[in-house]
Amino acid sequence: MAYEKLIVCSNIFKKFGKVEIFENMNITIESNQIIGLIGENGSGKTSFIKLISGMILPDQGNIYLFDKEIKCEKDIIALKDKISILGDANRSLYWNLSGMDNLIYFWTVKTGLNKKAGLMLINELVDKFNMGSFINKKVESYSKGMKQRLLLVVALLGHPEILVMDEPLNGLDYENTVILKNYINEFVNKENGTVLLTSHNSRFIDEVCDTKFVIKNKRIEKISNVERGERVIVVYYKCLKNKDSCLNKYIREEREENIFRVETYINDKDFYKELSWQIDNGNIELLEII
Amino acid sequence: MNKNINLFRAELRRGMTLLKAYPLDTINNLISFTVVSVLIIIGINKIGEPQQIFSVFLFPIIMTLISGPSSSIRSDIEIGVFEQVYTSKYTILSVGVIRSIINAIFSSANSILIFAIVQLFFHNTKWKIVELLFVLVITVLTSISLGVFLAGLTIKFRKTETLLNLINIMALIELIVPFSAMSSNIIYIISAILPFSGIIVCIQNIYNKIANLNEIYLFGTTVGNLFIIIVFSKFVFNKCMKSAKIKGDLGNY
Repeated sequence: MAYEKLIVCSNIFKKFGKVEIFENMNITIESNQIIGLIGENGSGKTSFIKLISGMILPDQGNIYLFDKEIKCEKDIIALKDKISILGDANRSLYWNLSGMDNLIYFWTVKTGLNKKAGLMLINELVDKFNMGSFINKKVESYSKGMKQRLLLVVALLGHPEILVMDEPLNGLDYENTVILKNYINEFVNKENGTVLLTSHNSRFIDEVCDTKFVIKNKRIEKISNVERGERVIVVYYKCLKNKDSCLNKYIREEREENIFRVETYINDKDFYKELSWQIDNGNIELLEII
Repeated sequence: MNKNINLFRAELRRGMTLLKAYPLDTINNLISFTVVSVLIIIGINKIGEPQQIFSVFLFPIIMTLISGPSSSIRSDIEIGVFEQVYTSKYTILSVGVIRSIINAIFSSANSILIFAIVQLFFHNTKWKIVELLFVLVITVLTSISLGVFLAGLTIKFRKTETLLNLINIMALIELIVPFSAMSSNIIYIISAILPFSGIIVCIQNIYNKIANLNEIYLFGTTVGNLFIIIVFSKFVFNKCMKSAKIKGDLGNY
């Protein structure tokens, strides 16, 4: 079922003790977009995610998810499979189980279905996200990037319509940031999903998002639709394999031997896809993104 | 129903993987618990009445079920997966209760061992299947309900280990009190107030060869007590959950 407005919060007031988090806060999130929510530390980004996931209740106001008003626990449970929340990848996973055990467990927990029904999808996702080489190892041995990928797959297990990512860049290096950007674009373009990102890194939000909101003075304000092609991104990388096949369709110059500089528009999704593919296949090593 | 069976299987798989991952802890748990229980049984058998040792076999199951839901929440918080489990198809309560039942199945190995030791080396008593089932069902439901009560407190106050330890010690003490030696009226009053006491009287009656199924008042007070505990625990859990949501305590880890 297609919903035009996925999340509507109207006239939300929320206080924790004497601290006021939201005062008459309103926001409408439309489908099939990448939405960025920025704000200073402690401005209420995580509180907003908790509000829409039912982890905190508003003091006043109404929250509608998928055209349905959220009033009680039952309403939230009925919509839980439509929303997936990605927290910090260093937590959010059972570190004492293997990646595969985590996927099988969360498949049932997120969908209510048995292991058999999910194995095909799980294997598909493992292949798609290039996790075959480490999926049977314990999560405690994973790097941050591996954990982030696994967590993303966990989040995709129940075919959610909204992916909520709270500070997804925390601790991620350049390469994994590029891979993440590519996955986000794919989820929105190919699977008609919607992504809500929070970050205090406004550059990342500019690069990835279609619509940008800011939490300011206890309210959420829409800033503008980020215009594609407005800004330029510069990437320095080292070519590890065949240098002629690496990103050569972008403006490129060789700075030193095998070290290249490419330049393109900040929202060039094909560029991120190509870059992500090159990283995944070990063709290049990212040095710097400006 | 199917949904809960699928969760049960998933939790069982997870539990088995963890048991295999930590073999030393698994074996140590089985041996040390049985040794301590046998020592308690020997001590009570020397100084007390023989019927007092009869209920001790229930202790591993009671302890696991009481601590189950709250330790499930606490361990998810410590590992960091609480939010993932919270935003799943299940309530955190159903996840906690199913985990407790699985842990109780694992700890039933302790109970069977203790039961067998008592039957073989202390007093061989004939049990009727119906009586054994009644004892087990009431014990399991009472323990899970107390577990739900503690889970609510854990959501609100985070750390509840001291209260949990206190409840476990109280349960152990209760298991060895010679209730059946008291007068009928006192037994009825106690079994209406104290969790597990009705069941302990039933077990001691089995030893004393008193037919439990004729004791309609005892049956009534035991079931009534269970009903009150279930309602009270669910009420406390819901209140704590709502309060945590309003105050923003949920997920602040």
